[in-house]
Amino acid sequence: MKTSQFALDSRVRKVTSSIPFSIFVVLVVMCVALSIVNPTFITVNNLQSVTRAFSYIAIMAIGELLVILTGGIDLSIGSMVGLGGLLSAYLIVNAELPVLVAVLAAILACTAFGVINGFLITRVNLPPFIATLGIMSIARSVCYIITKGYPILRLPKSFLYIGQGYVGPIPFPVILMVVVGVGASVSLRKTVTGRRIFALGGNEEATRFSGINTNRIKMLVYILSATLAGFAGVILTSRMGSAQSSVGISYELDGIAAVIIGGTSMSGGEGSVIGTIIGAAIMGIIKNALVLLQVDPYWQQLIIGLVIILAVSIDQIRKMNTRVTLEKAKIT
Amino acid sequence: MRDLSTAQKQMVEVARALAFNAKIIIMDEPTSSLTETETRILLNLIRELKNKGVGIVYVSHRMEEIVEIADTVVVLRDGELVGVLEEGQIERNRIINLMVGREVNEIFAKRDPVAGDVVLRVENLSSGFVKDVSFELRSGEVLGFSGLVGAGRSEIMRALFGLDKKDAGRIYIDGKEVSINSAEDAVRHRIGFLPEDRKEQGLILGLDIVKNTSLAHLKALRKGLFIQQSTERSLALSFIGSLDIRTPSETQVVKNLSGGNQQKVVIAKWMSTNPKILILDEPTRGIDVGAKKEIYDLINRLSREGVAIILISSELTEVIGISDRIIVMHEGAVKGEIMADEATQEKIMHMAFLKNGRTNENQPVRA
Repeated sequence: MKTSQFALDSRVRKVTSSIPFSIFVVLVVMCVALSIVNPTFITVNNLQSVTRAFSYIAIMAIGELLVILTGGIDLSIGSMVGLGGLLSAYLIVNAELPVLVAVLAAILACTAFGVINGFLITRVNLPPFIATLGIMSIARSVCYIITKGYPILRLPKSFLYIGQGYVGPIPFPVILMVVVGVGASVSLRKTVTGRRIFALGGNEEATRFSGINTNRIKMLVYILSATLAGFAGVILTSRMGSAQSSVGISYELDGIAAVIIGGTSMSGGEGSVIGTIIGAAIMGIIKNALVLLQVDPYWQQLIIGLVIILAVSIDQIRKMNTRVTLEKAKIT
Repeated sequence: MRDLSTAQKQMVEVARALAFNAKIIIMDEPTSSLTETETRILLNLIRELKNKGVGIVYVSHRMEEIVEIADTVVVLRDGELVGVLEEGQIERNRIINLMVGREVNEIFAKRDPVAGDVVLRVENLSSGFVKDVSFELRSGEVLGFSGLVGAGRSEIMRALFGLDKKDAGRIYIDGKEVSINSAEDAVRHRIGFLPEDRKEQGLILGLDIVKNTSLAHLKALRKGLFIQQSTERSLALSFIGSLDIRTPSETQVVKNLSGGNQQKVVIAKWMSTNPKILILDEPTRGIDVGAKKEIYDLINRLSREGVAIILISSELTEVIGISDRIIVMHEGAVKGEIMADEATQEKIMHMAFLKNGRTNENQPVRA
C-alpha cells in the first residue's frame, strides 16, 4: 500500500516536473491572461484561426524534432514547405493532375530531398548543418525555377479543403496535426525505431556499439523531416489559396524555435512531441496576441526571440538545480 | 604543418622546445608513430640535446629504446613509483620485474576449465596497425589478451565486432565462415562487446537502466509494432536482482549509478541478448574492489554456462587469475600464447617484449 502510494506519488512528481508540463503551464497562463485582457481571444472564430495557424508549423516542427533528437539539424524544411506547396499547386493547375496524385507527388519530391540530405550526412559525412543548408538553397531555387516567380492561382475547392476545411467546428489542419502528433509520439515512445532515435541522440557511439545501424536511423529522420515539411507546405498553400515561390522562407527557424521552446535538447536524446506542439502553440498565440493587442507587427520577432531565450534559460537553470540536488543526495 | 609527416611534426615540436631555450623537454611516447629510421633520427637528436645540457624525460613502453637512451629509469605502476634504476642497473629484466610486482591474490575463484568446441576462429586478421592476428576460442573458455595499452587488443576486437574495417582476414563461427561488416552483423551472430570506455561506448548515460539494458535486444522485445514494456521492465528487474545492481529503482538514469553498477548494466545489456561470444574490454577498469570481485564471479558463471569469453585486461594479475589461456600482444602483433596455469607476470612481460621471437636481450642496436 505504502509503496504503491509512493510509486503514484513519484509518477505524479515525474509528470509535473517534466518540461512539457512546465511549458504547458506557461501556455495555459498565456491563454487565461489573454482572455482576460481581450475576450476576443476565446471566441470560437479566433481559436479556430489560431489553431489553424500553428497546426502546420507544428507538423513541420515534429519532423525537425526527430532530427534534433538524433543530435542533428535540418535547415532545409523551410524550402520543403515551399516546394511541397508549390509543386502540388503546379501539378494541379499546370499539369492538370488529380489533387490527390499531385499532392502525393509533391510530398514525394520533398521525401527525395530528404534522401539526399540523409545521403550527404551518412555517406559523404557532411555535417548536417552544411548538407541541409545546401539543400535549403537548392530546393528554394527549384521553387523559383518552376514558377519563374509568378504565383499559381485558381486552385480547386478540393485542394483548398486541406487547409481551409472543417470537421465539425475543428479546422481540418488541426485534425491532421493531432494525427501526425499522436503517430509520432507513440512511435517515438513505443517502437524500436523510436527508442533508437533517442539512443542515437544520447550517445551515438554507444548506440553503434550496441549493434544498431545508426546511419539507417539518421537517413530515416531526414526523410521524415523533409516529408512532414512538404506536407506542411501543402496545408499552408491550401490555406492561403495560392502558391508563391517565396512561401516558407525562414520557416526552418520557426520549426527549430518550436522544438526548443518545447524543451528539446539541441544536443539530442531528450525531447517530446507534445512539448514541440505546445512550443508551436505558444509561438502561434504570441503572434495572435500581438494582433489582438494591436502591437506593431515589427515587434513580433523581438518577442519570439525573448521567449526562446527565456524558455531555454529556465531549462538550463533547472538543470543546474537538479544537478546540485543530485550531488547533495549522493553525499548523504 | 599538416603536410608534414608525423616524424617531421615531432621535429618541429622539438625545435619549438629548443626555441624556448627549454632546459627540460618531456617526450611522451615520441616514437609511437615513427618508423625505425625516424626513431633513429630522434634518438640521435636526443643524444645531441643531452650533450648540450638539456634534460629529457622520455616516456615510452618500448623497452629497447629505454635501455638504449636512458641514464636513469623510473618505473611507475598503477600510479605509484615502484623503482628507480641508475646507470649500470638499466637492464630489460630489472625493468620488467619492477613493472610486474603485485602478487595474485585470492579474489579470483579457482577455475576448472570447461572448454568445449571451437566457436570462434579468427584467421590472419589485419586492421589498421594490427597485423595478421589468428586465434581460436572455445565455448566456456576465458581467453585473455594481455599486453600494454596500445598493443592493438581493442583494435582487433573492434574489427572482429564490425566497428572498424578489416584489411584482411577471415572469421569462422561454429566452423562456418561469416562476414561481419557492422556491429549489427556481430550481434546477429550472437557476439557481445563490453567496450573499454563504458561512459562513451557502453552506455547511454541519459537513459535509465531499463532502456540501457534492452538496447541491444529491442527487436526481440517487440510484439507487433510495439516494444512490450512490461517484458522490458521485468528483464531489467531480473538483472538488477541477479547481478545485484544497486539502485533505488529500475528507472534510475544510469548517469547517477556508481562505476561498478554502470558496468553491470552494460553486462546486463549483453546478457539479455544471450550471447555465444562475449568480448570484455577492461571490464574492471575504474571500479572498486568489491565490484571487481563480483564481475570476476560473473565471468566464471557465464563461462560455466558455455559462453565463450574474450578478456582484455591491462592488469596482469587479472588476466592470469581469470583466463584459461592468454594471448600476449605487443605493437599490433601476437607475440605468444601461454596457458594460464603456467603463466607468470614475468613470463608474459618477457613474451611481450620479445623482439621477433628472439630471447637475446642484449641484441645489438641496429644503426
